[in-house]
Amino acid sequence: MNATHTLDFPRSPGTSGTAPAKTKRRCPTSRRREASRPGAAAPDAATATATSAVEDAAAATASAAEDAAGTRTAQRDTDGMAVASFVLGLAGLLVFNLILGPCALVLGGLALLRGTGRRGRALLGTALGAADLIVLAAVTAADHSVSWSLAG
Amino acid sequence: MLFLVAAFLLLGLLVGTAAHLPVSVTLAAGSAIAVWLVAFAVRERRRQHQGS
Repeated sequence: MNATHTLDFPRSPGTSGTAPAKTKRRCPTSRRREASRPGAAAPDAATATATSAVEDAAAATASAAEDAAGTRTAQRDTDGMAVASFVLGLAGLLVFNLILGPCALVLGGLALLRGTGRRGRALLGTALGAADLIVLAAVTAADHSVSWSLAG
Repeated sequence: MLFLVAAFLLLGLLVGTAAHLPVSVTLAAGSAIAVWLVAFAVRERRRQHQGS
């Protein structure tokens, strides 16, 4: 399968080569199903249903593996979101509170909602994002001014 | 001239906390945040090297 895939690339370079490669990749399974049917055609229907059940199970395990790979990628994404929330929330304590605080809040909340593996980091990032806005509000109230305090 | 004053005030609003605090306090808080971030980066790097 990989050999045909790699052999296909010199013949059809560029973006046009992706669609034929996909159809090529799907070919062996269909050929396998076609090949298994004549063998199960002569015996009774029970063996035919058994082979189809086996094929279904194989397809199910394949799709399960694909799902596992997808969840692994999603897990890494949510972990990155948790770390990004923490970093942005920490930097936002001092500068760009109004921008980095909401970013940290949203990223941390999304990571928590999507079930990140680094729950503590996401919680810390969300707390820091909230602290950004609270600190800015407190400093603004203490200064009685929205912008620069030129008192030194 | 008034445009410059408005832009300056908007910049102060954008910068946020650092615009309100005194310079020494800002520097101290910035260095503390930098130390925390560097420690976090070092720990992440060590964790990544252990994992792979």
